[in-house]
Amino acid sequence: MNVVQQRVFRNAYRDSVELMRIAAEIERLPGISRAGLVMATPANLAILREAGLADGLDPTAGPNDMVVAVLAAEEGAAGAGLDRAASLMRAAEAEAPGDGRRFEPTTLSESAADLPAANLALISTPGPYATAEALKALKRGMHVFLFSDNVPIEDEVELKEMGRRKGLLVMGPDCGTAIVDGVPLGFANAVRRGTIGLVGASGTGLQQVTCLIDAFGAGVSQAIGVGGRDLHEEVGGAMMLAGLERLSADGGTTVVVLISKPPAPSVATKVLQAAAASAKPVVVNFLGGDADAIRAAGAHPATTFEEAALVAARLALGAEPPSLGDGNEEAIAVTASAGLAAGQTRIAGLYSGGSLASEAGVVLKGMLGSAAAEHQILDLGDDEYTVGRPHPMIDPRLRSEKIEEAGRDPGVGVLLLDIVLGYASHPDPAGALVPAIEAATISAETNGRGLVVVASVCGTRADPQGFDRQRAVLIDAGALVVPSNARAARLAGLIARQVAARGATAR
Amino acid sequence: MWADGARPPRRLRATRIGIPLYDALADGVSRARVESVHRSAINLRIGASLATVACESVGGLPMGLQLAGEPALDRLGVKRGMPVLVGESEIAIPAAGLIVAANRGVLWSPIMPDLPSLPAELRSLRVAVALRMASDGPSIGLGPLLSALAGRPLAPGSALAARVAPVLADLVESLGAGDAALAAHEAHPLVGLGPGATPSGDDLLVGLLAGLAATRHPEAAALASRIGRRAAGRTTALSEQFLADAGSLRFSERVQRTTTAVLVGGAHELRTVIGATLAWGASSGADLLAGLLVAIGIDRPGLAATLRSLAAPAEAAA
Repeated sequence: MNVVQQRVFRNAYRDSVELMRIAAEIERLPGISRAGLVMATPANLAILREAGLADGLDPTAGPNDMVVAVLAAEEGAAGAGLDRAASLMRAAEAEAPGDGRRFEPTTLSESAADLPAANLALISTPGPYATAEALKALKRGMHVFLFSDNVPIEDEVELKEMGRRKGLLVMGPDCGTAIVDGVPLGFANAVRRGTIGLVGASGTGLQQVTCLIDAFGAGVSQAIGVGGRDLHEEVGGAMMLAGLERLSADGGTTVVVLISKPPAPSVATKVLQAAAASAKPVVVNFLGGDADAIRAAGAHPATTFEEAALVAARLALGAEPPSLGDGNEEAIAVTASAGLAAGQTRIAGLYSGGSLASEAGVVLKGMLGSAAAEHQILDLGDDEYTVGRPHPMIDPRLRSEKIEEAGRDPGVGVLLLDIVLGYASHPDPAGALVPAIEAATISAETNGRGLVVVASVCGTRADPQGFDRQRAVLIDAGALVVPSNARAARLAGLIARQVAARGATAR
Repeated sequence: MWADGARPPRRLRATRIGIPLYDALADGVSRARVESVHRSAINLRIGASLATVACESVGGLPMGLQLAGEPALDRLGVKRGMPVLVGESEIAIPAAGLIVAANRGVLWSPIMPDLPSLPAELRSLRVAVALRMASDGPSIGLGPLLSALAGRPLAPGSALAARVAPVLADLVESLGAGDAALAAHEAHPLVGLGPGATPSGDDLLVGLLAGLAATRHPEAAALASRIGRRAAGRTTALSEQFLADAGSLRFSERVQRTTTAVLVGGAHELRTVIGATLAWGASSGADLLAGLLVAIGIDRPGLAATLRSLAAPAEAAA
């Protein structure tokens, strides 16, 4: 029984001689009895129908599309005929270099020409090429979101100096997150829009604060990432200052949040002076920084990302935000630690978010003092782990290995994890870790130990991965899931302290 | 407009510009896109219209800029879909680093020149001469129709010609009856019919309308506007523009030259021009010539019957 098949080539122009040549070649193939190549105009389609070659034809084929139709003895022959036609069309296209292919910009110049109204360039080239592209964008009057890392600090200084002169933002290098006019850039979450503006030298810090602002019922006007080195002495906080200035002048922003690891002292002074000069309330979270200095500048200090979000939400809403949970962590810690052996005193913090790892370190140091150094908090997104492989927020394999390793370590009692949702992250970050969590738990139990897994999910209910589903997956795997990273670190610290105290009592 | 550090833009100079395009450019800066790129022409989508930047050999086009010389336009880095900035004095394709300066182009009119009015017998005679000269044209598209109109049998396998011929016969009769509306209705199946970027049916209709315009046929304008209007969305973008131009009785320079040669050219000129016309595209020139000669010789006795006799058996029976 004969079969009819067609293939549509969009916007493909070929002259008649070429079409006849291709048709003739197709008709010589075994099993093909007829071939027709026509522009899909109504008149030509009528001819195809009359010839019995139009059955099942894609109804969206239009006058500027080429239809290749074959009548063949069986499906295999028809498919081979269409493949051959495609190959001949491609060969012909290669001979005519200008025609037939859809334009895809490959340079900044082409992109700018393609979208002349664009005022922001997102650059994610390898580091050695990034500076040149960023300079081009700035010279064109575009703000820059520079995702690339491995950009020399002197280049960063130059870029940010040019940005400052031109009144443009240079977000990065190594900037992972921003939300500009509601548009997420890099790793960012689907957060509610609102009146809280943020400037952060911390990618997952910005994500955590924006997500918790959302959870507290407030929203974000802008979230400007500046890259992790912006508050270094050499860079001088150029973009945090620029961002603060913009948000202070922004009619859609009522509260400003600044997030960073502790800045260089001279930079901290400049930033706090600028915060003091702002007419808007400014919440400052310099992880482990000097709260008194912040307070002295008239700003609101926050020691954790959760606190920064809470204070900002309170200021923006003019009311107490809803609670994220009862915080009954002491009781949970007592229960959880009961299953751990005396020697399981260490926490293995295996993080995909660098700022979240830093926050965990700060929280543990605040709780445990010098004993915090006994615990291992790894930022698996750090350069030493990501050479030649994707970031752990995208690729969970390295973290899975480390989780299984921790399960085999007799000194580890608590596994501390962050699960970061949002755009660009793994589509199922919790689910991807579950096999490793289960393997680690079994490994510990097989050897007569327990293993407590403490996790937080950084995300919103609007994120593509499904916030509730991700939590449920972790809970099903036996993890203790708490509303923020700071709480997770605190709970881990409490459990470790319980085990250590029990050991001390036993001695 | 240009990237820092990028190579300086290449400038091409237009020597002539079609008045309809000139009028469109005078409306101010607008955005356009590259629709297609060919060796001798780059087509640009400007709103609903298609404008063409073409080499000198292509000649004047109603919506065209004619360049000096024969630059290989498909080797300039221009690609389909590239954005184009269209200004009063220049057309720029920034992504390809190309500027076409339009401000020194001489205005060119696509309106058919006012040719002497010839008696029907003389027109028929000139058509007969032209058909003899064209009868060795291509065997694809509507090329076989030319040899059949010259009195030769329709070659076997000339399916398209056999399909078109009876349609043309009806059209000829309707025009003879002064019924442009009916003629337009009859012409409709020809729009977008046949292979190629400008389907044979379209080229035939452009030629037909050129012949009617040049001979001041009373139904020319009415038929043209109807065909031009009804072609939208029924044929390729390029062909749609040609039919839209023809719908306003605006024709390319080479169509005008062929028409003029058929009507008033000397034997040598006629032979030269017909040879050149037959060389357009795979069959475009032959297709256009078929329509042109039918229109100019529309008063030839027995024309409709001849055309009808060329129909494929099933259509003849119908």
